[in-house]
Amino acid sequence: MHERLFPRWGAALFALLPLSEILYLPVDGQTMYAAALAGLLCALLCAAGARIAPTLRGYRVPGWILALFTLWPLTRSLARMALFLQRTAFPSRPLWGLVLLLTVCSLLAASSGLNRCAMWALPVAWVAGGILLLSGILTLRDLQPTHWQPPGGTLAAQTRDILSTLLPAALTLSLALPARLSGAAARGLAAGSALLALISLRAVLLLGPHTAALLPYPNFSAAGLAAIGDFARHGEVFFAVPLLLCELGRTAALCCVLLLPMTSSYGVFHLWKKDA
Amino acid sequence: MDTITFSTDLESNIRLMQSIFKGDNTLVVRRAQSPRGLRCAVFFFDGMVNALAINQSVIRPIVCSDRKRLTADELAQTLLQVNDSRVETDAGKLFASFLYGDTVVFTEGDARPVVVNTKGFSMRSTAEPENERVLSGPREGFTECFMPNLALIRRRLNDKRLKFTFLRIGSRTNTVVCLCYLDGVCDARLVEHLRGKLESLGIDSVLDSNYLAERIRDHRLSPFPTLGTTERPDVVAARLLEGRCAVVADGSPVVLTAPFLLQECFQSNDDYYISFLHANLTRALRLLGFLCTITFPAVYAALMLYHRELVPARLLFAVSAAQRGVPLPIGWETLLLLFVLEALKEAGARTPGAVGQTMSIVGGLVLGQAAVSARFAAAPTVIVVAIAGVTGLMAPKLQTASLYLRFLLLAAGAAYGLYGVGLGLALVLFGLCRMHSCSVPYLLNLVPRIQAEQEDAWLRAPWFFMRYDRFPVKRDRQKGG
Amino acid sequence: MRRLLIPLLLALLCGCAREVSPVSALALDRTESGYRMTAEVVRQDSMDDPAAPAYLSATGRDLPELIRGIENLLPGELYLSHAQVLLISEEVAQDSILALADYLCRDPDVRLSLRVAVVRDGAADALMRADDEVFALSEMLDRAADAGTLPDMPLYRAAEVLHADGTAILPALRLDEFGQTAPAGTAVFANARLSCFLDGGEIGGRAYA
Repeated sequence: MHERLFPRWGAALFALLPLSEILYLPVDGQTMYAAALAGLLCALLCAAGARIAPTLRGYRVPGWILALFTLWPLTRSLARMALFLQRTAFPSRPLWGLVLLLTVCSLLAASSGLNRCAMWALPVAWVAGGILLLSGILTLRDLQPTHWQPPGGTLAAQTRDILSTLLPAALTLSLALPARLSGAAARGLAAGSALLALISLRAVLLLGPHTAALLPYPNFSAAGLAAIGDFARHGEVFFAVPLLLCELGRTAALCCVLLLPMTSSYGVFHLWKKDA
Repeated sequence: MDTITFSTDLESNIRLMQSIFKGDNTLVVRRAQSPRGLRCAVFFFDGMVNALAINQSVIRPIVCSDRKRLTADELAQTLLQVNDSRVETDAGKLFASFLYGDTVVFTEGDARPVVVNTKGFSMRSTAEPENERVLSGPREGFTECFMPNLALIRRRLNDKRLKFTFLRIGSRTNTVVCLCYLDGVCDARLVEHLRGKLESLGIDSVLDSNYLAERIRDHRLSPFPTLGTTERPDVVAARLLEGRCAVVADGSPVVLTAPFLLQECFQSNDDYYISFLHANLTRALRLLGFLCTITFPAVYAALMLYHRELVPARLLFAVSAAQRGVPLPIGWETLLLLFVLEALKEAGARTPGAVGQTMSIVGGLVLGQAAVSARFAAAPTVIVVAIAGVTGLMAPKLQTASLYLRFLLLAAGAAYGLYGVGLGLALVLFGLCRMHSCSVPYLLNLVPRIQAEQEDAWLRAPWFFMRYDRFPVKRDRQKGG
Repeated sequence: MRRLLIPLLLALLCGCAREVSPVSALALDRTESGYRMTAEVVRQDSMDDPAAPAYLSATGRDLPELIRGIENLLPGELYLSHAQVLLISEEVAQDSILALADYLCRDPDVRLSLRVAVVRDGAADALMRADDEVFALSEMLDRAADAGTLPDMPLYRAAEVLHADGTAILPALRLDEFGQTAPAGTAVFANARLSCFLDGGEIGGRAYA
């Protein structure tokens, strides 16, 4: 009996992709619209990608092209994660050391296979979503609705920027799916993008567009204003850890795709092993 | 074993038996003869048999017999007044029974021995197991005696579908191992899977069920248990009702159950004998306790090394003041105190009775106070380690996992702060996602989730919602992920 | 790979905390050649002793130089994460405070909820030294902001309004005739410079913000 990649797992894996953008996304008044728009476009494209994915499985050349293409979003993810860690928590650590650590963690996770990454993604997506919501609720009192802006001129540029980071990873992953999970991919991306848009909105309403533009990681900094009494003031790290894990899930899944042509399966194991 | 052939001559059979067991002074040979001339030889091991049963049911009928000669069949069927006697022609089975407390009777003129069940070795009472005590509910526990253990299970499951399948494992100990399951409730593939694993074990001894457990379990190197262990017959009965399989080994009071899932680590026997409201609260506490014990020292080190901004200001001042003068960095200080805690626990566990308890308490208090006074360790670190130690006792089935993860996450926290702790936990979760027990996903009911089988997973539903007429770990039901 | 990871983690277990000197408040005054910054550093020698403030001052031409100057006076690390108040004197406020707000916002150590207040009729340093109790100033500003007697204008809001149109209000404090810290109305900024003070309850806190 083969293990299945359940649609819920697939949706969770795809939800991690927009969630992992939250930490690095520059925020201004247009980001919310841009995130929603980019999420929608991504969901549509990835649904189409997931539909043709099973057809591609039979050919070796597309598999290799896909694997090589994965290097782009993968290295980008690893680099931005390491840079984020160096800037916010470990200024004295060398960047290569952090990249190495994250690469090792991603490879360890990827060794379980794409199916297990998707399985892992489900609880992690719930935890990340829960923490985002909690962070949002804790800052609800301080939001300033006057900072809200209608869609404007920089929307197209912002959407393009988000798509340039989100789409390569999402499309690669959807084209590498072992089954036709177009609905799950679209649902996951839509849910993740909705959270991305909401958190960007929170950052704008809380910090204001000008202050948000000053900060290198505005969503991260805005989360630092959420506190429970005197506890966890400046508690951005509680917000950042689950989002970093979302990015770890993303890099692990991309590593799986990278290793795909070199392995005989998608990491989908047999329930009853031969030695059993 | 070499081929052994008995003869029709009683004296030569006696010599043969004595030569086989030469040097074993516990072998008793009793020649019995009736006034009419019936001659028999009775063999048994001193201390392994019920002497009264031998005297009254074996020797007395022989010496009082009015027959001159009897065949082995007649001896077994008409003369011996016992509930279980048979003519045994297989030398292997004969010696297995004989060595296990049965009595062997030879009669003049027949080469076939009669095996009489006279087992009568001493056994301890079925008292409540020390490490699985309950506040209310049954208080019986398994003992080292095999058949009484099976009887304890059967007494609770008066179902004709309850099967006990015997296997003999260990070329030297020849230990009887029993595979118990409820036919039709337990998946046949699971039974075959376990039977195959047990039969393929090429070992010479089984002195305890752990000898088997470490060999047949999945993910042998993982600190997370993938086989359940219990000393309570009510627990075994409940697991059998849930479609699991149990393995009972002779000589061990610990019964193995499979498959074993992570959710079971947070279940306690008391959960089923007290109100579900209270049971669920304590179950959630156990889960929190486990998370607390593995992460508390790591989070403490991470906060004090990398994320001091998270600590409330006045608390930070107090902790910094306490840390002043302590020679070790926080990571090493916590590590050292964790080692001391484990050493105290181990010493307490190995020291007999009340002395052990006293030593643990006095050792903990005196050492902790002295360490703080001598600036060997900071008071907050002692508190953190103590909390980790106490919460570690809440999920006893995960003590090994707690121990390893505590150290591993501490290293991750001291090296990379809360990010390190998060990455460590993420990798642990990856590991758990890979695990399975007898082909059932280890995280069943978390991922994958089975809607119909949440009644007694992470929380326990009230008894009026609970059904036991299905197999909760059936793979076909993995719908919805 | 796993075998390599564990020794790697263990080797890093020796992550060592430097002696921390947490700052609870900062004061910025103008001098002839530039600025003088005073930091209220908290000291607590044992768990039983109360936390007591110590004051360190340094002069310089800009904020990085001032912070470096104070750090040079300390054996350990100057820790700004717990700083809750920045007092600026009238002279400092009369220059543009936009650069100051930007710098503080970008510094990852400084809390975005840091409260900035203008000290009327005197040096910021003197007002900060007037109170022996740690965090007394920030607690007073919090209470006043909640009650609406002083503007609720933490750093991130101040930076936002300064960037939006250069107009902002900040709470003002002064030393009263008994030498104690007292609210002194609202400092109004136009083009990021101190324009005037409004006294009493002319402008509330949260409602205006």
